[in-house]
Parts: sequence; C-alpha cells; structure tokens
Amino acid sequence: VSAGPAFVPFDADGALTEARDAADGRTRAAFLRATAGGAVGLAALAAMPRAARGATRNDVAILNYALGLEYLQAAFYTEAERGGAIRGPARRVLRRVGAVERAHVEALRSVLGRAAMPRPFFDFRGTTEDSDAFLRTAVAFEDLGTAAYKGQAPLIDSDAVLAAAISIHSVEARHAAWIRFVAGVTPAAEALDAPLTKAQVLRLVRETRFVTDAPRTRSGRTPPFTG
Amino acid sequence: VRPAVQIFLDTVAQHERRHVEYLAEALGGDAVAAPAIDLGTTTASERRIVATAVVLEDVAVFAYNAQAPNLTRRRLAAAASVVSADARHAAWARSLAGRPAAPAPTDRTMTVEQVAAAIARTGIAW
Repeated sequence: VSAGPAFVPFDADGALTEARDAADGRTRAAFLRATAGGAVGLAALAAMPRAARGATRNDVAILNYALGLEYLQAAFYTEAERGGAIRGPARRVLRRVGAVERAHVEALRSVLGRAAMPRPFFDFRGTTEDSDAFLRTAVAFEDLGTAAYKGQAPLIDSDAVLAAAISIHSVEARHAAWIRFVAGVTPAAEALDAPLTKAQVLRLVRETRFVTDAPRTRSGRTPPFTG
Repeated sequence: VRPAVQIFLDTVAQHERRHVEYLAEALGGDAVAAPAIDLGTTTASERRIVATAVVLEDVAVFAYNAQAPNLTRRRLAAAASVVSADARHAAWARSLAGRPAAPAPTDRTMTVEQVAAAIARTGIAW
C-alpha cells in the first residue's frame, strides 16, 4: 500500500472555510455524544494514546485513504444540503447521512493528527442540484465506501484501527441501503457484498472528475461571504 | 404483508440462506449443526415481522463487528462480505418500519451474551 495521499491532485494547504469548520465542530460534538455510551469506534480510537492504537505506517496510509473518501462524501452532502435543490425524503436522508460523513471526517482527522491528508477541492458537476443525479451519485458513493472499507479491513495491522474501520464499514452499508430505498432501487442487491481494492476505488473516483485542482464556482450561486 | 415487505422478505430470506451455505462451506467440518428454533409469535403480524427483522439484522451486525479483531485477516475478509449485506438488511427493515436506517455514526459491538439476550427478548427461543 502506498503511503502517499489517496487523491491527487489536491491543494497543499487544505485550508477549510470558516463555515466548514463551524459545521464540523457541531457534528464532532454530536458524534462524540452519540458514541459515548460504550460504543467502540473512531471516538474511542481518537481518545487512545498514540502508542496504544498501534497504527503502523501501513495503517496511517489506509486511514488517509478512508479520510479521502469521507472528504468526498461529506463535501457532496454538505453542498447538496446548502444548495437546497434536493427536497422531500431525499433531503431528510442527505442531512442525516451528511452529518455522519462529516463526523467520520472529523474523527479520522483527529486520529491522524498531523499525518491527516489535506482536504481536496471538489466540483460535483451539477449532481448536487438535481434529484435524480443526486440519488444516483449518493448510491454510488455509499456502495463505493462500503466496498472500499471492506477491501482495506483485512490489510489493517492494528486491532484498534480495525475495530474503528469495521464500525464505519457497516454504517456505510446502512447508508447505501437507506439511500437506495429512498431512490426506489433494491437496498441489498447481492447476498454477499464484494470488496474493491484501493486501485479500483481510486480509478472510479478519478473517472467522476469530482476531485479538482483548485476551488471553482460554477453554480452561479452567491458565495457565502462576499463582504 | 404489504408488497414492499414481501419483496424484503423474499430477498432477505434468499440472502440469509446463502450466508448459511457460505459460512458452512468456509467452516467445513467445524460448522455447528442448525439449532432447533421456536419463532414464537414473531411472525404473527407484519408489524412483528418487521420489528423482529430490525433486531435480528442489527444484532448480526453488532455481533460480527465485535468478533472482527478475533478473526484471522483472511477469515475477516469473508465475514465482511456477510456483515455489510446484513447492515443493508438492517437499514432496509428499519426503512420499512419508519425508523432511522443508520441511527449512529458508528455501529456498536455486542458480546455473545448480549446477542443471546437481545434475540431472547424478541420472543424467539433457540
């Protein structure tokens, strides 16, 4: 497994907008509350001393790869929620799923600390502004996330990191089924869910051209902070 | 039952039979025999069927997640293909029941004893 960043190209400074920081802060608090009742997972992992996690360089690369996918998902739902074009049951689901994906981002960043890859820039090419395109993309993202975590789980060295990754893996599968249900397609297409390798996942992500070099404003909406 | 629930039951029953085959195959001579199961009144109405399905599928996910670090990584790869299918079933049953399909950012774990107790609370005896 390469130790390099999961996605290229991405901006080197990875600065977040003020609004994103505020949103992530809120979800992180909610995330920590939700996992406080003895549940294992990322919150527990983040709370562990570094040595107790036993994360190897290989594990750090896997966590960064997971972080890249979570950035992609979180940015997608956040943009769809802010844009306001998706309505009805799809909007209710995207708000809940988006909050969870933002919590995954924040928790992975806190586990990785300074080793966390910076946030890439995204251009979702109109898929957050049309209900059909949104649902198709969301189904693809959640199926992809499930297959990606499944592909990495057997490659993880540390049991603590494995427990955290596994506790996210099944939530990604729930999201996939939930969004499929709302989209009117079968929530569980196969008896056995297949994994995807990192190379397969990154190729699929590259083909979307959702990851871009630099921020773009295509939508014509007024930027949130114009002075 | 409603047609939407019938589709769920047909699909999930077929998946679970496949899981049994798959695990029995993986275990070979180490596979335990099928236990005697008394479903009680859990199949008496659509509401009870769906509510019981939510518990069984959620519990399966929590049980697999708890055991993941105890498996060899090779066995884990096989188990992971089952657990995400069960997580999909859980989310599907929850959607049919009008409940949040993914209520927490991470899925919890359950010990063998907690799993047995949760199943017993549904009214199923085994």
